[in-house]
Amino acid sequence: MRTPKLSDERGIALVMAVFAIVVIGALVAGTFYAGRLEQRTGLNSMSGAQSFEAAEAGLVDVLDNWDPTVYNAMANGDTLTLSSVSMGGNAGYVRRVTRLNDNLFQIVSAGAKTDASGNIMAQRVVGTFARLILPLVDMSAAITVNGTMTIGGSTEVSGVDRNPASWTGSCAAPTDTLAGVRSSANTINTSGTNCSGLACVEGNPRFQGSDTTVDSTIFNDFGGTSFAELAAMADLRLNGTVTGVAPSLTATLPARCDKTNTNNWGEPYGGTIYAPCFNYFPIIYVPNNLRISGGRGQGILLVQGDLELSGGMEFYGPVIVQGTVKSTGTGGHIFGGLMAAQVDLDPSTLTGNSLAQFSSCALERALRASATARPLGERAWIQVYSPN
Amino acid sequence: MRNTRGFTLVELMVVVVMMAIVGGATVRMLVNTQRISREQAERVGLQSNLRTGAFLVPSELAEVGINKAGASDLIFMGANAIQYRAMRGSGVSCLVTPTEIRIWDVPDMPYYGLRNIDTNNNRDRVLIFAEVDPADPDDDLWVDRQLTGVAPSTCAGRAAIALSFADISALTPTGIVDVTVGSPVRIYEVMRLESFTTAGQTWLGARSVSAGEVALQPVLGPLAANGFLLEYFDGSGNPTASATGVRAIRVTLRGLTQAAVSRGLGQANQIAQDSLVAMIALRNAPKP
Repeated sequence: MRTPKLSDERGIALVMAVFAIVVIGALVAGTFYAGRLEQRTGLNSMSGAQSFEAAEAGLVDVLDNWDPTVYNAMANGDTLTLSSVSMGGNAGYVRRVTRLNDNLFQIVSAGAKTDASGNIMAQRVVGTFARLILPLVDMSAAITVNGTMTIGGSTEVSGVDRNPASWTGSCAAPTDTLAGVRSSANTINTSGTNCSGLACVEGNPRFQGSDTTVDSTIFNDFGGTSFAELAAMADLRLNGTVTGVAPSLTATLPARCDKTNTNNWGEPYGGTIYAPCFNYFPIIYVPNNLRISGGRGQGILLVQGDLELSGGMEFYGPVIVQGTVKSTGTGGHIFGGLMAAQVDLDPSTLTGNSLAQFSSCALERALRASATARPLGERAWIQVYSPN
Repeated sequence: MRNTRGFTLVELMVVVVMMAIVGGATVRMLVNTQRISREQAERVGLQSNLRTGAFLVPSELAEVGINKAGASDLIFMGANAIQYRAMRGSGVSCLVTPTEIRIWDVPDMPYYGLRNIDTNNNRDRVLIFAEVDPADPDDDLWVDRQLTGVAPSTCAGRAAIALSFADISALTPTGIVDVTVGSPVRIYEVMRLESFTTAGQTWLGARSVSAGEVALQPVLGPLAANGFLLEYFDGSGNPTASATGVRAIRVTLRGLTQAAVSRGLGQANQIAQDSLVAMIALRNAPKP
């Protein structure tokens, strides 16, 4: 039988079949290309949207977790780049916080969507201008009282504005002299010889009685921030008796101010040992009564009930008490200002030396350091384009 | 017998018919391929067009602000047109005088701009943040001035941009002291987005109102007759016609293909339409 040779094969079926395969292949490839193009375009749109949302999340993250001890301590012009955060789904953000001046910050957040290998598929950058929200506490005297006040023993009350001794460089030298005691009542009760004739009070005037601006409003409205709102921002919630208030550091190195310790109310003495706590001014809220014996701290102390100070407790910053303040034994020392419905500074022992010293520096530092940041009321949000 | 070999007429006829069938099928296949490919390109172009719009319009409108005093960046609100203050950049002041502010333009504090600042034909204006009482966040305001000049400059030996404007010393309530170093500064122009029809086709156009532009420049299209539709909603999600009450804008884009495309076997070719809806939250409007 003869083996057929290729040259013997007639017709064009093979050629036509190959041609048809090429044409169909091109058609299929074209369709796949168009589909692929469409898929990539859709993917890019989705990646862009995800990166935008990631960038937005970065802004919210900074504002919702505002750490006053970090951001409020930044010098004007300083920039802090925070560690990147992964949100899962290959999306994440990087944030940068810049302090613009005493009150303003700029927060920039870059959101990115990456592929499985970490290559950036889309990136969007947004920002916001934010400002510190400081409670406006109406303290224009060493003690502001909306009721009766008794003063005696070796108590000292001073409306002469003074900076705390160890806060050199924190504030300008004060020049004002304010009232020693500002009260809605027209009299002040005194006992003992030390305070006879208000000799233990200095200020201009020593006693500003029948002050109609002293009412329940100033105990509850701090420039648009209510007492309850301020309390809701509290770093520490305490009750009962507190002893041994003192700064403390974390055990792990590098040592940081240990904010998990409820007895750590910052370090008002300065120095180097507890330096990380020098800028820690917690808001301390007490929903009932509080008795503090000894120790030292700083911040904003809010007491819903009564406050009793003893053992020479030293506190730097505003103290706002809805009930009665009582100082016993070796009484408390308050640098900043005290507001209370009633005050009894009549230590039972002659060695007692309650002190209420007005200090705008202590008030300012405590209020500023405790302040949180919020976006500007108008035009805060910005789309961040590439720098020109 | 060798010389008697050849094709019969019947064989030749069969071959010719078969070649005609195969050739016809091939031509039809080629035509279909070309048509499908053209349709794919048309549809891809249409969707790409819509996506461009869905990116561009929200980018333009997301920064629109409404201040507490009741002034809104929304100057005109229509169903097919919108006029607004379009933010073009932001920076931070490093030097302040009554007639000039310098803003940083350094890597750690750049001027973030969509484009360079343009003072030609009064295109760009400036908003300067003023803090009346530093302790009171409720009295902050933005001072609005026409930019009269822009030039490269320095602050403490570092790169900056000098912005000139009419004297702001008479600012109310307390004057130039309200504007401090570190104040945010924003650059904007007044823009108008509007659908328009030319040569029988509808397009989305844009023009700079502050620069005195009269003619709309086409941005994307072609669109359907109602292809650029704007709806305005308040904080509760209800429609509103109040420029100060708007908290979100819904944009509907309905695009058309440039050429008619097939709708299927036996049906006449037709212009294809696709649509895309985007809800834009106004991030600089007061929170509900």
